Amino acid sequence: MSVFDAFRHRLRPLLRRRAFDREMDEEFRHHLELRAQEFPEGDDPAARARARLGSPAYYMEETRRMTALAWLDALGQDLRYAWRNLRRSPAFTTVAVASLAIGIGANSAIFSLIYSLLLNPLAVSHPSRLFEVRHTGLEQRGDAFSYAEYQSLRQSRGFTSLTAFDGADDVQVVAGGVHTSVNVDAVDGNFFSTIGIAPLRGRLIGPDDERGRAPVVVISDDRWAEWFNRSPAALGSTITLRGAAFTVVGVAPKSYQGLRLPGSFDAAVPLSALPLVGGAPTEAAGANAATLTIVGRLASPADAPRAAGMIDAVYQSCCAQAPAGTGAAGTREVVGVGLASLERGISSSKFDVYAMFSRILFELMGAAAAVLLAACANLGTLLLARAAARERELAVRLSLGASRRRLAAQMLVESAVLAALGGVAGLGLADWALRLIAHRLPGPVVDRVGLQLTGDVLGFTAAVAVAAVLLFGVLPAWRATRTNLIAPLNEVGRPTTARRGGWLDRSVVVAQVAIALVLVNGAGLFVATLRNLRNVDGGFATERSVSTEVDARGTAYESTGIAGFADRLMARVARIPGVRSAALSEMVPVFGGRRIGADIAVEGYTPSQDERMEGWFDPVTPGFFATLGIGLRTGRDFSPSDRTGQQVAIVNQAFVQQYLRGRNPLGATIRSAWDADTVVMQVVGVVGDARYMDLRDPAPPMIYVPLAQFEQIPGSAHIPVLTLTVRTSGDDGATAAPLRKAVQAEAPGLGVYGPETIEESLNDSLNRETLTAELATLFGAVALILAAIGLYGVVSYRVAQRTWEIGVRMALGAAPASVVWMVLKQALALVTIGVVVGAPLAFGGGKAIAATLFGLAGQNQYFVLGAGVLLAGVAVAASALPARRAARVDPLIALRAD
Amino acid sequence: MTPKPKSRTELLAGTVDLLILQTLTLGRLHGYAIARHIEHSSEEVLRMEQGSLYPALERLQSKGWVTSAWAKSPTGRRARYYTITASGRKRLGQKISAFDELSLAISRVLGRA
Repeated sequence: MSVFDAFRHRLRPLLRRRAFDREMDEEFRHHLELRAQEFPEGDDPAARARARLGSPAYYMEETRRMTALAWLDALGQDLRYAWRNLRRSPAFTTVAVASLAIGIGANSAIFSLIYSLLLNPLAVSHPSRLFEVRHTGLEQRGDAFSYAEYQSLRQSRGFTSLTAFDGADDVQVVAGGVHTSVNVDAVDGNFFSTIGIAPLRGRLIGPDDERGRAPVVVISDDRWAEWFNRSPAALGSTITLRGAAFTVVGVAPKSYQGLRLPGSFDAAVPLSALPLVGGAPTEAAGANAATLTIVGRLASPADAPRAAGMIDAVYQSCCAQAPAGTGAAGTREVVGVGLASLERGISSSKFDVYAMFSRILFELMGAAAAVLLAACANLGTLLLARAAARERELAVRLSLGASRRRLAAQMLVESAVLAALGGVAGLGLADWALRLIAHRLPGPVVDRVGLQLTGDVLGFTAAVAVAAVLLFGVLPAWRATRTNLIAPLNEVGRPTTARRGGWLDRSVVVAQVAIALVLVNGAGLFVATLRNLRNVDGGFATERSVSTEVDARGTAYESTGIAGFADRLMARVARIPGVRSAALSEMVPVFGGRRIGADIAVEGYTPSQDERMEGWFDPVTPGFFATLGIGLRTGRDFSPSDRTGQQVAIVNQAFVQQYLRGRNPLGATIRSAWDADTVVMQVVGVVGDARYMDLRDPAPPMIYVPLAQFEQIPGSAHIPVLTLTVRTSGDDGATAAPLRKAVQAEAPGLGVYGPETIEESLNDSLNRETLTAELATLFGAVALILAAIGLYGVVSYRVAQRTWEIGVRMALGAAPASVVWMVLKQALALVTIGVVVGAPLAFGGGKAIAATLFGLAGQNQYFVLGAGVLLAGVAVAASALPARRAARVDPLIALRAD
Repeated sequence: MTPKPKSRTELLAGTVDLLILQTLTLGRLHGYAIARHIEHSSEEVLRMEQGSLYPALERLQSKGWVTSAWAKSPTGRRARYYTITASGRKRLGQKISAFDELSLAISRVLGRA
């Protein structure tokens, strides 16, 4: 008989309880009959046999006790008992479950975010075996390789397969009547087989497509839904990518979101078809062709060092010395290639979700953990109070022979029931919270957000709930086992002045106050950061302007440029009612745009040895500064006549500070290099500084140039995407629709994206800070409420215990005011200790989150102080009711109660 | 559930196991036969009833030292027959030597060895 059989034997009565009892009964009857045969006939042998065997109930119970049934019976009893107990005090149960739900829910929600954004492995087969080939060396050249390098590296052994992909962003798509733009991946023929996904519909891109340069496309499940309403007819139909027709051959599974994080897989075409959608031809060797990401699959993750050695050897012989580096200077330091795990995807440098969110997510996780701690502390005090109230009951049961272990188990079961209820409610709360949070996350991230009830998230929630039980349930259980048998039984409602063991609940309340101090301080800091950022003078007008992106790619205007009809467009826009001025530009503060950079030299400025002078250019139409509310400091604005002749430029004050300090900026010349051409521009004006992408960053040195002149610089490509901004005289939101119409009337087919008021752009740019401030405030408020409940509990308990003493005091002439003060004093003393304990923690917390704060250096102490004052106020409010009760004690009644 | 007065059963538990396992070395037996054999061979000194036999059998089974199966008895009735397992035999050996040691020690104390 194996151990397993023995175990199964022990479980047998659980699974087939009735059969177990019946068999036992049959066995005993058989025994009795045989035994009865020993006794002489006529002497009632059956009765004698029964007498000999003893009480059947007893030995049946004893037999059962040998099985797991006994343990389960006890557990069932405890569960029923706990359930009855909890139902009998609905107020307690509600508070307990609600505070646990908030604590557990907050943790689950934040963990779920962290999991889906940062920890979730790629949805491909065996992601741990996927590796990205990366450059190693003094200066990391990043992950890009040329096609020639890729072809050479393919000869490396050690990989199950090696593949590469590239991509083109913002490709204009016409599909099923929908005009939009998406990111298109361009993948080698063995890409999908290497990463290991299967098509949801149709087929994926294969080697034949790559060889044949087939204009075929695989789309994502989301795009299938958006463009074709998930119709099977999508397969074989044609969509247009940047004007070129592609045949849809398959749909990728929903779980596949590309290899980059955050994922936003829309469509994939063969690598050889990339030029059709605007990418560089893949065979082109040389400077700017290093755009491929190379991905390899290994038989086992353990092979990585060996494979890295092999591919580096190939790289050394083929490519390390080749002039295949990027065009910029100083890339010779690249010494080799290595492998980086792709298990959690490539963190895209353009939109680095790790950098953007990991910090605040872990900060919020810490806050959520503190909330849970506060909730557990709260529950701990509540349970202790209940245990105190049940002291007599426990003492009675102990004296009647209940084992202390059994009583402790019962208390733990009660805690576990609470934790289970809190956990389930917490999951619901987390789901709801995540939906709210999703609104604050940037577009590409939102798709991945949602409560994913995966094993990891459920496991985490369960672990949190168990930790909670251990935190708050063990104390009362331990306390129960230490119940003094004699004292509670003798003490028939005797009023006391001093209470035994009161230190325990008081120190828990102190801990709660300390936690609340930390969280309220954090909330204050985050809210102040948001306020500071909102109050930052960005250097542009923050109301009554609307911006929209105008996209000429894939249209007839792409080759001629938008500048060609800019004047006509501006004239048409100016006729829209409510528009006071309008301008086109490449970039607009907070709204966005693309950054144009070029090497520059400023006359009269000598760069330091290592300084690389790169200027940011923003081509704009006349009236841009007035439209954006950027002040002209000196000189003149651009005029319509700045079209031919001398190239002119307007710089901002940051530019003057850096390159033209102490000189008259007007008339200074700036040389800029556009491929082979050098353009000399003359500064004709200086404008105020405007912040662009991030309000935290000071304005960069900027060079504004007339759009009409910029388009004529030979080396500067036509700008296919521009931002149109209008200043309105009234309601800016009402201008959005006419604006879109005006653009499309002037130039049919142009893409017009997101007319957005400056207010909306500002809010979007502060989404992350808003989310942090909102969550931190919520956490702080919860911690405050929990501290208030804890304080109320302790204070009112003390008042109830001291009723007799208060009665004596009042009988001896104490004024109600002094009684009230006596009660308040207790609460304030607890808060003071809590603040003293919590202050260093709050300072530490403030230091830990310093990197996410803005404009608050050296101000933390005010926030700690403010939080302390707030807590004192909460203490007064929480003890108001018990204090009133104390002041109303009638000495006669209180003393007679004895 | 009130705790049972355990001292008696605990004191005897080891001995009861020893007696049952030893008895089962004779072969497959049902509960009554086990009790009868112990009574018989101890010349009616040891009585295996009062609710200790079946709990003990249950315990021995849950430890894997004994198995049981229902079978027809000679009288034609269904009865549960118990068999000692290999690990039960090993356990019996240990128990016997432990018991021998104990009884030898007691005998020495009593000055009889």
